[in-house]
Amino acid sequence: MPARVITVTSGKGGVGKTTTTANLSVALAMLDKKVVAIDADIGLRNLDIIMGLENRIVYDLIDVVEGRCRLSQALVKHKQHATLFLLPAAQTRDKSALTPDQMLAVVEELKPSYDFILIDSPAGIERGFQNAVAPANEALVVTNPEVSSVRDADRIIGLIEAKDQPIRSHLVINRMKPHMVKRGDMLSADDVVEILSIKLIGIVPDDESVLVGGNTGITQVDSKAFNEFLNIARRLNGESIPFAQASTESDGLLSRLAKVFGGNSN
Amino acid sequence: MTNFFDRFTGRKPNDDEASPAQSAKERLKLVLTTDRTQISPEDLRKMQAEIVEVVQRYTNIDDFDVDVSLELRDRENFLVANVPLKNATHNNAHRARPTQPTVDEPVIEESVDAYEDEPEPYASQEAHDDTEPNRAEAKGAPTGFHLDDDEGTD
Repeated sequence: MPARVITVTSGKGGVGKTTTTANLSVALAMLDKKVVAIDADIGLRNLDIIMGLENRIVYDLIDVVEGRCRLSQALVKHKQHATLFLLPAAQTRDKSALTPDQMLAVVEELKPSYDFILIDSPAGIERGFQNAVAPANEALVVTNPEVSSVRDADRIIGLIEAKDQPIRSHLVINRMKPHMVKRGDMLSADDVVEILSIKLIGIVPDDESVLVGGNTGITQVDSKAFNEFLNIARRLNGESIPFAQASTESDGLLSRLAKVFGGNSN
Repeated sequence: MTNFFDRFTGRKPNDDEASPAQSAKERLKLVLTTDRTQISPEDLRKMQAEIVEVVQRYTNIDDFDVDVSLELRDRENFLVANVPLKNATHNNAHRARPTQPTVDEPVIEESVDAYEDEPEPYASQEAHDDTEPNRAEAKGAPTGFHLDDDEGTD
């Protein structure tokens, strides 16, 4: 079966597209899937450094489309996961170095040999985004529970729906802070889903391990955040895994009190 | 009781005010209706005024009862107008009138249809009501006519 092509996008910058792409591609590889992660952010490449592969790049996506190398020569194999590859962006060029048709051609060539192709979209709604969604069958829309990123996500969803061949969108709510939701200081996952009206696929808790993973180039697989990325990978594969809304049990005094009283009554 | 627990859960004591999460949600919904429909709140106000004007040509309504709003449902956008009709009371009075012959049910349906299609029968209906106890008229019609007179030909 040809690969599923999933573009990770958000509109707004800094919400966690690249970390989502990196973590999710590792999670899919851990489920024995053959995965290529494509960095479509030409000129501002970062997926390589987040995945810890920045020193192994020989050729990039633009070298491929301009015929300086074969596609297989540009693919960088992940250090820990043999079925995961990175197709890096060019750093010295800009978005105009690539067209949606070229992107389509590259993805078509990869499709037969892989299970998943994840495309890390640049921020914005211009050429770079258009390149990134052109070959997609599905989109992961990443947002934070915060007004500006939700607004931008809404815009992106509108653009995706306006495509000639509409594609399925899934919502990833990233950097959720359950204690703030509990206080009424942060939009809940339900709020965000109600506003955006697309299918939820993951609620990733705010977790310092994600930053540590980026800093070291080694995905922190024993973390709350990565656990949810694994869940997203499984949900993408059709498994039905309930959403752990918010792991707030350990946080509030009320719930701790409730536990104490619950313990006494037994 | 709630205050006690709220203090421990970190909730703000003044719960009458919307929480930051609630205001985020409301503000987002408002801004997204404008973003998605390209209809500004100002456009919406103008539209409402014009809708009131059009409806008032046919029947009595109070403009402050009218609510025209944009609603988002599952990524589809709707223009929703709630226009309470004052002369619902007229129709009811008409229907309840004992002087009509017993076949009056279907006849009334027809007359209501005709009344919606053309403005003419409206006047005759008013005339009918005049012959009856003027309860309904006192409630409904005069305010509407006064408004018309004030803003219109006078």
